Amino acid sequence: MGFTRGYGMTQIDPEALVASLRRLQKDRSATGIVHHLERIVQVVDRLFGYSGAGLMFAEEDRTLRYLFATDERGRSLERAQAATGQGPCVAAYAGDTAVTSVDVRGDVRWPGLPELLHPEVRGVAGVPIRLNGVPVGTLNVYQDTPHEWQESDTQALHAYAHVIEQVLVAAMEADEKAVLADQLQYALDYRIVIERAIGYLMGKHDLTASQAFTGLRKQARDSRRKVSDLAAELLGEQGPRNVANPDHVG
Amino acid sequence: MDASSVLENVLTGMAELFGVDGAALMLLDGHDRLRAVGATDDAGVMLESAQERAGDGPAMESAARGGLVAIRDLHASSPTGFPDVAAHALPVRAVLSIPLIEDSELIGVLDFYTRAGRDWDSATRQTGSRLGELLVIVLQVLAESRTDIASPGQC
Repeated sequence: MGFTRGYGMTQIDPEALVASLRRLQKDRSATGIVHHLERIVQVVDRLFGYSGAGLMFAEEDRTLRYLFATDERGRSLERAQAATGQGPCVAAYAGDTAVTSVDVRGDVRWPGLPELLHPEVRGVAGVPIRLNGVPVGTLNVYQDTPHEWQESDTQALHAYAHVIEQVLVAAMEADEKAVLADQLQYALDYRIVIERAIGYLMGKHDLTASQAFTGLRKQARDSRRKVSDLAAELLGEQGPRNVANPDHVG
Repeated sequence: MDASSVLENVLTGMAELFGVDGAALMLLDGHDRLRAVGATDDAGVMLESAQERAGDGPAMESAARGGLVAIRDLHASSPTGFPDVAAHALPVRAVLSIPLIEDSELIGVLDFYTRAGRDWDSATRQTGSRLGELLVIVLQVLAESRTDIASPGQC
């Protein structure tokens, strides 16, 4: 074995690692960074027992947009913040620090949020996700009841965000930065198509946003299709195209 | 940053998140053998190397059973401990071995360990399993990292 010592006490055997990774790479196509990020966020609320979690990423103009949420309630949290430009996650990104709210519905810092939020989004915490030390997005979690966040909660979220940062770094090794950016941009774009399809379903079938979203996801899963493709079909249009690699996302 | 550095940071972060003294990773190589890949400190390297040499230990048992193996004291007599492994990993007492499963196939084992004996209750085991899931995703991302795989001697 040829262990090499890292910056701290950590020791890795690069030869053994590469041999195992090569084995992992066999017979599988790359699934893309956004797919991995979605899975990571799905793990986070099961890991900590939160009601839900989500990711927001910043566009070039530093506007936060939602990338993924584990359920409709979390989606409303990210959508409300993207629409109003305010909220705990926006503040976490802007201030590059953890921001928490015991009950976001009664939080005077963000008066515009409650009317856009799902009623079961209450305690909220957001921590920045950084690349090269610069915030590029936020990891967000929420509880469906008011929640007193402890320092240990935010420390754990920072540690989890750090793992996400490492995944982004690894993905940047795999793809040129421009391709990674394209994948994230594509994911941000196809959310718009999904939002429009949900609105269409709500109007046509008199559904709530939650019912429409759940139904869309279920139908996509049952037919083994991407939600974005199904949403685009419902709207009678083509989904956003990922020029870099159309198979990578969704 | 290469794959080794990413893995180094992730293992350190996971040990911190889990509140244990260290984390160590063994992965199956091209010949279906569990190989010691990395650890957060010397004790972890000793634990993995001892298991690799002995062909025995909590990680080996976890791989064979495809399930979690929780050891309160590695130094205890068999079957509750692994004294032969413990003899070559003296600082390590309690070990939680988590099988890493990708698409229903075992790809490796993640060990968390402490220097004092401890019980691993069901909530802790569940958290360990989730961190195992997370590590599988990280490894998938690294496996898709073409630059790292293309040049095995480069890291």
